[in-house]
Amino acid sequence: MIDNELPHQAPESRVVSKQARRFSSVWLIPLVAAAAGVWITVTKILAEGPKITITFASAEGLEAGKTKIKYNGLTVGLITGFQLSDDSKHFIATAKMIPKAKDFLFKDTKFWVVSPQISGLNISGLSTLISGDYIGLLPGESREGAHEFVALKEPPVTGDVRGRLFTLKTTELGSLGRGTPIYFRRLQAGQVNSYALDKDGQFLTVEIFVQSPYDQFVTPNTRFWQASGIDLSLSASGLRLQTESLMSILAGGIAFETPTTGPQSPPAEANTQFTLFGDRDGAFQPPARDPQTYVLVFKQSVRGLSVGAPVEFQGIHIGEVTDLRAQVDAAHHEFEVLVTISVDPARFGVRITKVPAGADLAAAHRAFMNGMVARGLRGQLRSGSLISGALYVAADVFPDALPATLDWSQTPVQLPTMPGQFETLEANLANIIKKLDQMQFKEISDDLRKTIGGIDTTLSTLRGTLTNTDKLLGTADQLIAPNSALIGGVDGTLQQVSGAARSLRVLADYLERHPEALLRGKTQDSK
Amino acid sequence: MKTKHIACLLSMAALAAGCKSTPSSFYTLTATAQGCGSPDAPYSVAVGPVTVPALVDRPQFTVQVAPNRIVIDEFNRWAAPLNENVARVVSTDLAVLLGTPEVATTPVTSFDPAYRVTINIQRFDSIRHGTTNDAALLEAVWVVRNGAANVARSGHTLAREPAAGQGFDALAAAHSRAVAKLSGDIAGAIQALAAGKP
Repeated sequence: MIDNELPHQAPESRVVSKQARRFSSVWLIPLVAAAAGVWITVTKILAEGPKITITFASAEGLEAGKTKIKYNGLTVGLITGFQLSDDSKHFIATAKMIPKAKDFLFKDTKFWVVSPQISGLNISGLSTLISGDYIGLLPGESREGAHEFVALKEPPVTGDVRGRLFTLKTTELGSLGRGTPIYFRRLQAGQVNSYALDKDGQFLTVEIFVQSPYDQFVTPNTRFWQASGIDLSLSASGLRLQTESLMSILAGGIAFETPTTGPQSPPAEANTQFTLFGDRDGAFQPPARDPQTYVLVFKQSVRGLSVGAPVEFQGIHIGEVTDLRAQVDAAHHEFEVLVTISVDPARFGVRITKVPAGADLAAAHRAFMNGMVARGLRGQLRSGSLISGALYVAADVFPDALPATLDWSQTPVQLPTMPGQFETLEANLANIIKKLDQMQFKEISDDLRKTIGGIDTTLSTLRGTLTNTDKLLGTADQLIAPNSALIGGVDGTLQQVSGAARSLRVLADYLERHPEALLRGKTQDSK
Repeated sequence: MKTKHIACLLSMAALAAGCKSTPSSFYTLTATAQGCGSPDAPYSVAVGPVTVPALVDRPQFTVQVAPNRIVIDEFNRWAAPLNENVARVVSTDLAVLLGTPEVATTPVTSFDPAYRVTINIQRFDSIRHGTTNDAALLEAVWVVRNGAANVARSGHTLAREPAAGQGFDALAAAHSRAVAKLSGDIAGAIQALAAGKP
């Protein structure tokens, strides 16, 4: 039975308000979760590298989310997306870099697409055939950070190598191009980066990169010259062949060297400008300090003489021919050839040693030249090479030359000349030919014919003699043949002679033993 | 004057009476070889030159009476020089032994022999030691040369023949028999050379 007796009073529930605890331990969990979440977010935000944009002219080979940005083989970023630029001509790629990338993202950091390339004689980027194109990075030198970049159209030639950049000025490109090697003592020390024509169109500026450690050998005195291909020259001084290396024959090259004479300088600063000479000799020629110009008048053919032909004095090269011109003397209907020469004796080591004290150099020079011309200094054309027919101008002292003087009022001063050596040669030849003409060939040939006829008869007589001699020899042969009567007779005679000699010997022997036998004869008891 | 002449003539006659020489006896070698009878292949042989030692190269007989003593007998002589004697006898012997008439002693003309024999006699002693019989000793070195093929055969013969009796006759006969033995050896060499040729 259910007890129907309800308590009269239900126990009242007393509300005991507990004092709220400060912190329930349960709240720890979401707190911790929130803290962890915040921490993760913060670290993630902090760990994110900078985002940059790179502008490309073409997005070929690049894929968002796949194309990496690599620096020296290390992946430092990833392309996340592409966008067409506002003028629809370029692509803007956004890329996310690693945090460390902050250290080298400067204003002049370079980006470019690495794909297989052949430049100069270098083949690079072959690995991208398999792995796909990637973007190369070259940190810049400036300290300004940046986040927007424009990709280079072509990879920088230097890549990631240390060295210095210089510029060369030249009139002709020759066979230079991007990647043309630069040689120092026949070692490859760098390459050509780029070239551009100056605004005035007179010169070309070539930017070169010299690697370390070779860049420390480039001083402000260094000479650069084109060393491409083969340098073959045939001139009055002979045949010369020069080349730098096999590669330079194929791909062209520039060589440099610092002359040992002259002041020693510290290495040149980056971007110093130098002149690019055409060849080694041109590079090392000391600059013409005080060239003098003279003109020589020749009344003979100057075929074989060219501009640039050497001028020699006593065999020493002192200058060059700078101009050739013909001139008509209308009054006498004569042609003459004017040869202008530029002479700088000091340049070739010839010095005028005795200068009177106090006089100025020009006057001393004039006095010297007057004295030399009075002694017989004349210009003459001489043959430099009989094969090529090249001529050169020789200055020499001719004691028996016709007297002449220098007229200093004219410019350029005219130097008196002597007719060339080969002219006398021609005169001699003409002489010989005249003498040959005078020889009487007809009489000589008639005499020769008579003599030959005489020889003919002599020969036939000789033939008869020879036949007789033949017969004689045949007879002699018969006579002394082994079985001939003569030999037999001689044999018999020899035998008789030997027998006689033997008997004589025996007799002499016996007489020696028994000399009394001459008187008394042989007796029985003498044996 | 006259007596002087007579005296000279008489003395000369007296001297001349004792100037008569005793006559000498001459000896020669003979060919004593016996042939087979049947003629062999045609050989043509030239014998010579023969060299004899200087000791016996004289007409007189040289007799060895003691091992180191020689007596030269003036009145018993060889009729012909010994080297020619030996050459003649050898060629006659060879003609008999080989059965060919074409044997000659050099030098000859109009004769081109196939074989040439040269003999170098080293000893040709006549030994008379008193008690025993006389003996003839012959020692020789000979060379047979085949002219065409330039092949040579050389040999050495030593023959000692006792004399049949006393006197120089027997001694000469003994020498002849010794030479016959030498010829036999040479004939054998020629036949061997001919056989060995092909």
